[in-house]
Amino acid sequence: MKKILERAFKIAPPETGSQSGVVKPLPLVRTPEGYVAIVGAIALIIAAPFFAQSDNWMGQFSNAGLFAMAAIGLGLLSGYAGQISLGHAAFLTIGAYSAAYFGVDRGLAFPLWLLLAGLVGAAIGLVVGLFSLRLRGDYLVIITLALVFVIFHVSKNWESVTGGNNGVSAGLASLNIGPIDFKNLSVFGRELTKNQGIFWLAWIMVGITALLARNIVRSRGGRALQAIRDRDIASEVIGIDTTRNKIYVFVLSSAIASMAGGVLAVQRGHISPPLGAPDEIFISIQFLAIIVVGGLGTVYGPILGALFIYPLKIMLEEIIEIVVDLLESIWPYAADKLLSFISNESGAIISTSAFSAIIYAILLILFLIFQPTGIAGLIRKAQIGTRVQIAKHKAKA
Amino acid sequence: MRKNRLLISVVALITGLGLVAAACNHNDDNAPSTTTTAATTTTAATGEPSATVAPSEPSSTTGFDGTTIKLGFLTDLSGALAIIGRPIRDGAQVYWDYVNEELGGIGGKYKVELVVEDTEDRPAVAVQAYQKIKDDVVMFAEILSTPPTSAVLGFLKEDNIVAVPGSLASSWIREPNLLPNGAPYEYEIINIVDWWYNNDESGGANDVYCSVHVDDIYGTSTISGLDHIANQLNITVAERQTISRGDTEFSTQITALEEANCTVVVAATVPTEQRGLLTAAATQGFAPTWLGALPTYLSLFGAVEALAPLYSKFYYVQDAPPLTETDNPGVANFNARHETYGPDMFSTFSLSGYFQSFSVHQLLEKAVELGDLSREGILAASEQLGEVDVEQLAASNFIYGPAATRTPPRASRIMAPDHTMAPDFIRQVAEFESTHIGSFSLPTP
Amino acid sequence: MKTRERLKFEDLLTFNPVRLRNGVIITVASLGILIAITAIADGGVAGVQKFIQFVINGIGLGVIYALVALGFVVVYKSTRMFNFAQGGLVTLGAYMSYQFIEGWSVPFFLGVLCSAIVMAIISVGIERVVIRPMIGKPIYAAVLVTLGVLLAINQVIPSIWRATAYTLVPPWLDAQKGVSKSSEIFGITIQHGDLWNALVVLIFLIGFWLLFQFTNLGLGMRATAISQEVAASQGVNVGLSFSASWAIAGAIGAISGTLLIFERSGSVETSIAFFTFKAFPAMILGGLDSIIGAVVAGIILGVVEVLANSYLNDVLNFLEWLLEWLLEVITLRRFDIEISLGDNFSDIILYLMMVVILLVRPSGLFGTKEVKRL
Repeated sequence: MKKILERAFKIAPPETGSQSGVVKPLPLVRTPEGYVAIVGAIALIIAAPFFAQSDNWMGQFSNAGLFAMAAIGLGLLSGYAGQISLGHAAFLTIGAYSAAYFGVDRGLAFPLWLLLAGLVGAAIGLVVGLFSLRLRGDYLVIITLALVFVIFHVSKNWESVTGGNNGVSAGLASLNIGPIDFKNLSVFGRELTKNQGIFWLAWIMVGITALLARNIVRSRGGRALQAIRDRDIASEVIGIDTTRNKIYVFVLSSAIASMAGGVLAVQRGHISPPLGAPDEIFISIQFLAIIVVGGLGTVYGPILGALFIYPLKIMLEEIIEIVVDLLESIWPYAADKLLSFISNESGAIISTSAFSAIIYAILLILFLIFQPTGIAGLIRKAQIGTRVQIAKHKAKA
Repeated sequence: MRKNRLLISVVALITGLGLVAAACNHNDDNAPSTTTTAATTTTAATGEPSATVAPSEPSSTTGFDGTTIKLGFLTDLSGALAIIGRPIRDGAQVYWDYVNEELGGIGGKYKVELVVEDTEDRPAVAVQAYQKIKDDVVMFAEILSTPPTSAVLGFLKEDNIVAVPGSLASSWIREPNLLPNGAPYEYEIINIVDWWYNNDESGGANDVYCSVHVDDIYGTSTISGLDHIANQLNITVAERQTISRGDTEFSTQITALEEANCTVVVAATVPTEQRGLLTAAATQGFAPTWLGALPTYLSLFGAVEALAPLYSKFYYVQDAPPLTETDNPGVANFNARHETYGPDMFSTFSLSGYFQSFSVHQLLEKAVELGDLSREGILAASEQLGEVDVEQLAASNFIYGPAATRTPPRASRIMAPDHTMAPDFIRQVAEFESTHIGSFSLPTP
Repeated sequence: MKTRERLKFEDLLTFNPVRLRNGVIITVASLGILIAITAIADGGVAGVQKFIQFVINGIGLGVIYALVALGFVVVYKSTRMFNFAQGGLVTLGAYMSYQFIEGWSVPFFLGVLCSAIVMAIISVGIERVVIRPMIGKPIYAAVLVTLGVLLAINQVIPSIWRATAYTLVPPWLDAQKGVSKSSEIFGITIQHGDLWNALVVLIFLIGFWLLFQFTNLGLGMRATAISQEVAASQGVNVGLSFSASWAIAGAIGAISGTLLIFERSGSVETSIAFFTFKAFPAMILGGLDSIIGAVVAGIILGVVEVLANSYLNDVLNFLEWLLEWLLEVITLRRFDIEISLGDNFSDIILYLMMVVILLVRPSGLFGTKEVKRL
């Protein structure tokens, strides 16, 4: 009896004291600048629908928000756990069809269908996660492509749920939380459009996801993931359950992407199978670009990446139009020449969208060459730079 | 070095953000806010309730500033269908240049301008392009291909906008917001099969009929036309095969068709894959008669003399006459107008873009006559639009009206490839209208 | 150890006797199962003849997969970088060949050669400008750069060639029938086009063997693959290895692009790039860094695709019948079971097969096994 008690006493962690084996979690926000940024971002999100006059841009940025949400999940998977996935867009598709099935066919309430969409995504993520246990690196990248092809095939053939080639309508799924209907919001007597409502909903979801991700990352689980990423066998030796952690992060990121896909489907209205699997692979590539440009191994990186990458191409098109307008007032001859080269009109050599796609690719490549650690790396450098300046200033004083 | 890079990145980021801000601002200047748009349209609608009786000048509204009417044009300029999408835009431009220059515009005074956007033939991009220009245009004169159209359709209904689909799916005909232009693919299939069945020379009644289709929305719906006509004529379809877009190896499908002793194969495929099927069949010495829907053939392939043997027993259906048939007034006009207004590069697909503009032209004339170019005004005008004359460019005319009573053209032209007939390398074999079309029920939304 | 030293060819192409044996067992076993299926489905001499014809057609398709996969493997083998831009190089190569042969009326074989040379130069240019700076940078960023190159090439092509499709006729076309010339042996048709494709793959295999075995450049490339740092410290020109592998990938792109035109029934169009996604399983299945692996896996997958397309429904019908029979015996009630995998299931069977085999052999059939270190 005494022995048993002794053993129990030994195994139990010491309650207090400096020799504690339990490491305190990192703070939620690391720097004072971080608090300022968060407060600023919240203020901006609340204010945006009142000031932005263009409904199109509201739509763009609510989509960007949903992409940011899914990208946070992918960031956990790739940036923290080191598992690259080229099949992330497939989970958006799964979420979209789930929204149509549970939200429209079954007519469930918004929180319920969103949860079910997440669960379906999680279940499929679990299967893919099991495959990921056995594979590493580049082999894993390609196997996630298989998911894209399989989901494409299923979406074309499972007619009772996906509507086959005709697709299904998801626009009628409800977006009500209690009395709040995000499709028809009115604030202070002002009617808001559907895009404006979904903008808020999307960014609320981004906020919740970011909080969740940050809490995972700063606690024991997050450190375990990073350990697996850097030295998987070593981390197993020191007692981290790599199997459980890898599957856990796969399931989580899939569920998040699936929920984002569900809301995206409601905004887009109609979902049909992509024109081919390559179409979805390109969206997956976009996700990869978002997290790498944003900065791997951070939670705010994917958000910044989505804000930068998602609307970039359409903004480039706008910029080309501005440049042409400007030229027209200054130097009409050059504007004409430019228009005969780049324009959507008849006779031009290259369409505006093709040209902006080329610029997009070039910008992406240049950014990666000069700043491979992404926007997050840039911010970190700037922070260190200002700290050094302040310290120097203080030293002088 | 390191500092330098940092500097470059910072500068790049700041310029990027600056451009972002500029882009957003730019849009704010140009696009009216949605709330004001809604306000103007409602006043336009309520302000002139009796516009149908007393024609008046249409007031300026979304996409119409009092002098110029802007039309949205969603086509594929850089994707897989750019080969069709670009000439369609050129053809439409030829038509509107002719209207602006020679007729002085709609109602003799309102010029028409196209606002072209690229869909890359991807539904998601099409939705973005639609959102981008919908507040700048009165209606959409083109949405190319079926998947982008079904992606945008929900938004069209929400926004009360009329659009012309650049595809001939039968489900478009009963949609009030869509203004399709030709006989649906199902009608075409019914016509060509019935034509072959009743063809004295070939004795089509004794043939064994089979089918092959591509497993997308176009293929599956088109082949339902075969089901209808087979039912009417009491033929059984002996073998059905499917292919996917991007397939390159067709020996399996051809072997299956050969084993079923097919003598006629009805095809709802796309040109590259159709040529692959013909090649596989010729390699295996299998030589049935092929009856294809409109998108199965590309004049590009017909132009190559070395490939003529492949197409020796191939027929397909289309509305328009061959461009070599200059006796046809529509063709003569098209050739002359293309000469005047068209770009240097000629493609036979220009004709489709040109052809689709007739109904838009008549619709706008109607709306101006009724004195209302608002979205609701155009929607109302589309219900009063009767038969649209297309200068005999189609075998018969489309009779519009309320969506539930529209009558699409029923006659089709049967074509055969011919490598001597530049520029489109086809010759007309027959003009045919099946008596079994009337019993085919169009899908209702 | 002794035998291993003698078997230099195998060693070089990273398969040892054990791996070879496993590969052969898997191949033979899968073929055996499929032959059994045909026997069930068809029976008789005609059935076997038909089956062999399908296998031949499958090899014809598989050789193309192999050729496209080789372009990926050669870059991976010497730079450890997954080169997504290869799809763009293939498409650009196809257009380049068209430009030489039809546009500038260069004789066919000379035209393809010119196109290969130009593509090699373009690829080296891409490598020097955007890939070289990524050496030593995070691998995600490097992979994304190749994806960026793919996006750019995809949009540059329609701008240069005015988004039009073209046709190109192979010199082995039979003008009487409008198809590739073919020979018949024992009632089985062999297309000359397929023979040409196989010949090209064979030439590349021998070429790679000579390159990696007998030249300093090849040795350097092998060393670079193992460790860039060590190779550089031993006097290997790492940059040259990078350039050389990209030049080869560009040339393969031009040649595989040209042959793909004929496989895509003669049309030069941008959707050729999509085909390269179908070649991914071949590369993975062979083991990313194995040249012989890419070829073997490509052929296996081509055969499996054609056979699956032909016999899958028979197999499913048989399974339905079997299940119905079993259930009837057990429960004494009639059942009507219908199994459907949807139209064109053969499109995804390559990927499914890849998944299954990777679960058994995580480094593919012939790939170098990763040594796990603490």
